Amino acid sequence: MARVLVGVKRVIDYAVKIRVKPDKSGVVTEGVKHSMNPFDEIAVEEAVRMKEKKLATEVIAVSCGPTQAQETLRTALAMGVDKAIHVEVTGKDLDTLQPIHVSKILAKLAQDEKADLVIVGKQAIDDDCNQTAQMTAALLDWPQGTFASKIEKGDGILTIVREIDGGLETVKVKTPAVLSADLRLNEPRYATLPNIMKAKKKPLKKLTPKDLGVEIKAHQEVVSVEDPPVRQAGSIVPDVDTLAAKLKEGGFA
Amino acid sequence: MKHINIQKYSHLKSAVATYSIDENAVFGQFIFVANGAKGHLNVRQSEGHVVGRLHENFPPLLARVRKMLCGVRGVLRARRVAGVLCRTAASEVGQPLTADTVLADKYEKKRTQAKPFAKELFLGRVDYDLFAYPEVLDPERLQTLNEMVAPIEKFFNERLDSRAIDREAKIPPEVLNALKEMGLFGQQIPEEFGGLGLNATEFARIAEVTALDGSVAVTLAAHQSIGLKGLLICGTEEQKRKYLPRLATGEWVAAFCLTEPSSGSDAASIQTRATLDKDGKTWRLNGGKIWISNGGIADFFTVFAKTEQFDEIGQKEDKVTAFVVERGFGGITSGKPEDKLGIRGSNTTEVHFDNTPIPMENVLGEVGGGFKVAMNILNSGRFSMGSSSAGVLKKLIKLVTTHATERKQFGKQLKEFGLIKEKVAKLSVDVYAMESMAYMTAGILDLYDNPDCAMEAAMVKVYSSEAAWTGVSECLQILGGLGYMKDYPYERYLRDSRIMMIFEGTNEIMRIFISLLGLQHAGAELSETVRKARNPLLYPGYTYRLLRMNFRHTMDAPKMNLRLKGYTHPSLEAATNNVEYCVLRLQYATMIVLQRYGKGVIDAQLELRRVADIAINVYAAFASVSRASRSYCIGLHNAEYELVLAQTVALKTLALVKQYVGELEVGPLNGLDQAHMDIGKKLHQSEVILDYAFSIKTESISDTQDCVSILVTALQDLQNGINDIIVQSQRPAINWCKEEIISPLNEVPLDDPFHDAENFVSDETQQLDAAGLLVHWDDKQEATEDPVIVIKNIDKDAASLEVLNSVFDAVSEKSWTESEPQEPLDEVQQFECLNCNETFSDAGELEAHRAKNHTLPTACDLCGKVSG
Repeated sequence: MARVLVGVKRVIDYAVKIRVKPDKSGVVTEGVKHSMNPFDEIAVEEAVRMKEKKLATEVIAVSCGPTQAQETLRTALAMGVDKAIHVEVTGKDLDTLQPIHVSKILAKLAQDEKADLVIVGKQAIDDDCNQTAQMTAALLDWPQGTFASKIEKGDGILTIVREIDGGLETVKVKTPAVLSADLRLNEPRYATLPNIMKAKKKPLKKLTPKDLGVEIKAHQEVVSVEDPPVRQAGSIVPDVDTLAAKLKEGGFA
Repeated sequence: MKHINIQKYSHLKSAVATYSIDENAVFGQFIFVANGAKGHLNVRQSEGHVVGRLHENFPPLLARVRKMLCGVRGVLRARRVAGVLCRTAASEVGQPLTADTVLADKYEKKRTQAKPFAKELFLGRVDYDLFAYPEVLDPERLQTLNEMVAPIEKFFNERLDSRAIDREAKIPPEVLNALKEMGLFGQQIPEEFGGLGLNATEFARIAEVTALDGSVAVTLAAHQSIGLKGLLICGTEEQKRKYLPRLATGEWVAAFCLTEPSSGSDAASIQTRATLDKDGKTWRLNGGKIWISNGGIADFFTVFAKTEQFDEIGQKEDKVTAFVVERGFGGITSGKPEDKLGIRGSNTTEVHFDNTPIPMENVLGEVGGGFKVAMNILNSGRFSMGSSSAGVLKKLIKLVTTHATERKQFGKQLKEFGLIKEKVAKLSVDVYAMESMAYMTAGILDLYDNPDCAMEAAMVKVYSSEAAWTGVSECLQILGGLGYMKDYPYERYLRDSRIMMIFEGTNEIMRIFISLLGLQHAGAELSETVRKARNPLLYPGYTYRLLRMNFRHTMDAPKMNLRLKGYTHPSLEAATNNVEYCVLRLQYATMIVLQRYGKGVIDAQLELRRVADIAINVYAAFASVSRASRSYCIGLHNAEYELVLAQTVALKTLALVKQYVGELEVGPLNGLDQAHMDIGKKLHQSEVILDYAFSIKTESISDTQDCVSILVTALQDLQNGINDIIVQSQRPAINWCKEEIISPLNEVPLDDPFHDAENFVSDETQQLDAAGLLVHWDDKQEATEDPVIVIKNIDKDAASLEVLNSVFDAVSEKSWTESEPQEPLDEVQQFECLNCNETFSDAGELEAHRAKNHTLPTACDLCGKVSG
C-alpha cells in the first residue's frame, strides 16, 4: 500500500488555437480556455486506478500556479483524488517558474506527505519541457520510470514498460520512485457530475513556494516567442528527374 | 476621500458617493441614496481585480415601510448605482472589473412572484425587478457549474460520433451508459433521491452542451424534461422514494406517453382508457400511444388515459388521469423504432397497453386531474429549448466563421463579403436573444416559488426553435455545396433542429396559447375599461383620457410612461426606449384585438398570431437589453459587444412591432389576410388547382357543359386577339373534352397536325408550331391532379380560325344535347337470361321473357327464384 503524489499542470486547452502576443513575450492566455495537461490526466487516472485496486491508500494532487490552478485541482478531485495541494505562484514568479522549481516543490511535498510514489505526466503540452519527473527523482534520489506505458505493482517493486525509440523496454524499480506517464498508459475517465459535487467537500490545502522553502529564481530568460513559419505553397514538377534534381538542390538526397 | 462625478449618469442624480483611494489598491465604501433606497457598497481590490459587494441598508423591520415608500424600483436602482460605481471606481484605478462583482446579498430563498411577468406585458406593464436580469447562481455554484460543463463538453467532442448515431439510427449502449455514469439522467432530481438537484438555470446551461447531439439531447429531455417531470411536480413522497433513485442513475429510463394516432395537439381527446377493477384497487390500462420518445428503452412511463368520473351533479363524464406505469406491470409492448427525418438516434416507438394492471397508488396527481398534470409537465419542460438551440448555433457559428476566414472566392475571404457578414451577424443576434430569454425564464423559475411561467416558456420555445431552424440553414448556406454534404454536420443539425418546431406543442398551438393567455389576462382587467369605454357619456373624464391615449397610439406616439430607461445603463438608452415603446404597443395591440373581436377572438387566428409574435419579440428585446445592461454594469468580458447585440435585438423587435401593429390596425380589411383565407378555402374544397404558368385567362370549370362554354368563349377570345388560353378542369370534364373536341380536331384536314392526339405533346409540338397552332394536352400529370388543356400561340390566321370555329360550333351544339352525364355501363344492373344470354334492363322483363321462351323450371342465378 502506498501514498501517491500526482503533479498536475493547468495549460491552455489542446483544442485552442494558440496566438502569440504582439510583443513576442509569450502567448495570449487571457480569456483562453484552459484545462489539465493531458499527460497529467493520464497520471491522475493511473493513481486513481491504483487506489481502486487497493494498491494505494491515498492519492494527493499538487498543482503550482495561479489561483485558477485550483480549477484543475478540482478536476483531479472529481476524478477520484483524495486531497489537493495548491502551491500558489502569481505575478512575476509565474513567468519565471521553471521545471526545476516545480521539481523542488514536488520533492519537498513528497517528503512532507510521506509519499511512496510520485507520478507526473511525461511533459506539459505548453512548454514541452519533459524535465520534471527526471529532476524530481534526482532531487529525491529515488529511482525513476519515465514514459511509462504500463505499470505493475509488486511488493515494494514496480515493473514498468517504457516506450523507447524503436520498441519497448521493461524495467523494475524499487519504491519509492518517480514515474512519468506516456500517452498509452491508460485512457483517463471523464469526471462525472456527482463526483464533481462530492469533490467540493474534499480538502484543498493552499501553500506558497516560500512555505516549502523554494525560491523561484530565474535561470533563463525568454528572448522571444514567435509563430511557426507559414507552410510554403507546394509546386508540381513535370517528371521524376526534375523532382530528383529539386530534392538534391534542397539537400534531401 | 474623493467624490465620484456621477452627474453624467442621468439616472443617478440622487446618488451620493464617496470613496477613498490609495496608491495600489482601491477600496472604500460608497454610500448612496437612490430614489429613496439607501445602501452602501464595499469595494476592495482582490487579486488584481476590483470587487464590490452591495449591502442594502434596510433593517428587516423597516422592509415593509421601505417597500411602501419606494417600491422595488428603489432597490433596483440602488443595485444599478452600485454597478456603475464599481465600474467607475475600477476605471479610476485602471483595473479590470471581474464578473460577479456586484452581488445582491440573498440567493437562497425563493420569493413569491407578485405578478406573472409576460402576461403583464399585455397590459403594458413591466416587472422592474426582472429588468435587472435575474442573478441566480452565487459564485460558488457558478464555479461548480463551469466545472461540470467542462467534462461533458469534452465527452461530447471526443467520444460521441454523432454522424454514426445518425446513420445507424441508434445511440450505442456504451455511450448511453457513459451518459448515465456522468449523472446526466438525474440532473433535476433532488440530491436526497440520488440526483444532482440542479436548478433550472444550471439545467439550461448543461442543455447547451448536451444539445450538441440532437439524438442524445432528445433522449435526455424525454427522460427528465417530460418523462419523470410529473413525478417531480406532483408525485407523492412514496412515489418519489420508490422511483426517483433508479431514474436518477439512469438504471431506469423514463418516457412520456400522451400522443395517440387520433390525438396530437388536441391532448384532451385521447382514447386510451383506464378502468377500475371490481376490487377497486387496480386500474386496467388499455390503448395505444404513438411517437413516444424512449418508448422502446424506457422502464418507466408517465401515461395519460381517460377515466370515468362523476361530476358534481352526479353525471358520468370522461376525464384524463395521469398514471405512473412500470414496464414490469405487464401487458406493455413497444413497436419498432420509427424512421425519422432527424434526431434519428433517439428511440421513438409506439407503446401499447393491453390490460396493464396499475395499482391504485400509482395515480399521479388526482384522479381526473391528468390534463392539468400533462400541461404542467409540458409547460415546465419547454424553457430549456432556448439554451439548447443557442448551444448548437454557437458551435456552428464557430465553424462557419473559421470557414469564412479560410475560404477564398474572387480573391477575397468569404468573411469580407457583406452578405456573409450579415448572415453571421443575424445569427449572433438571434443567439443572444435566445440565451437571454432562456436564462431569464430559468431565472424566473429559480427565483420565485411556484411561478406562473408557462407563457415565458412557450415564448422561448417558439422563438428559439424558429431561430434555430433558420440559423442552422444559414450556416449551411455559408458553406454552400459543402454544407449540403453528409461529410459536414450542417445537414444533420438542420434535420435535427426541425423537430423543435413540432414537438412539445407545435409552434402554431404555442402562438395561439400565448396570445389567448395574454388576452385572457388582459381581458379580465380590461373588462371594466371596456365597460366604461362603451358608456362614454357616463364617464366623460375617463373617456377623454382614453381617447387621448388612443389618439396618441393611433399617431404611433404612445406616452412613454414606464420610465424604463432609469433602469438600464445609460449607453442603452435608445434600446431601452425601444423596449418601452414595444411594450406599450403590445398593450395597444391587445386593446385593438379585444375591442374588435371580444370573445370571438378565439377564431381570429391570424390576428392572434400577430399578437403572439409581438409579445414574443417584446420578451426577446426586454431580456436582451436587461442582460446587456447587467453585463455592462458589472463589467463582464465582452460587455461592449453585448451592448451592440442587445441594441440590434431591440431594433429588430421595433421593426416587427411597427409592422404587425400596423396590420392589426387595418384588421380584417387587410387584403392579404382575406386573400389568404379565400385561397385556403378554395384549395381545401379541391375544386380548383391554380396553374399560374402562361395564363392570361384562367377559368375553372367543373362539368362538361362548362367546359364547352369555356372553350367557346376561349375561341371568341381568340378572335378578339388573345393568344393563349388555358383551360383547366377536373378529370371527367377533361376526358369528355378530349373525346369530343380534341379527337374531332384531329380529323380536320389541316395538314393533319393532330394525327395522334394522345402523344402529340412530345412529338408533334414542332409540327404544331409550324402550323401556327399549338394545342397542348397535358395528360402526364398524376391521376390525382387535374389535367389541363392549353391552347397556345394560335395564329390569327383566318383559315385556321375558321376551321376551329366550325369544329367548336359543331361540338358545342352536340354537347348541349348529349352532355347529360351518362352512368357508366358497367354500373347498370343487368339481368341476363341464362338460357339464351339475352339481357334485359329489369327483372320483370326477364321474367316475362323466361315465362315466354323457357318454360322449363329453372332457378334464376341472380335472384334464386324458381320460375316457369
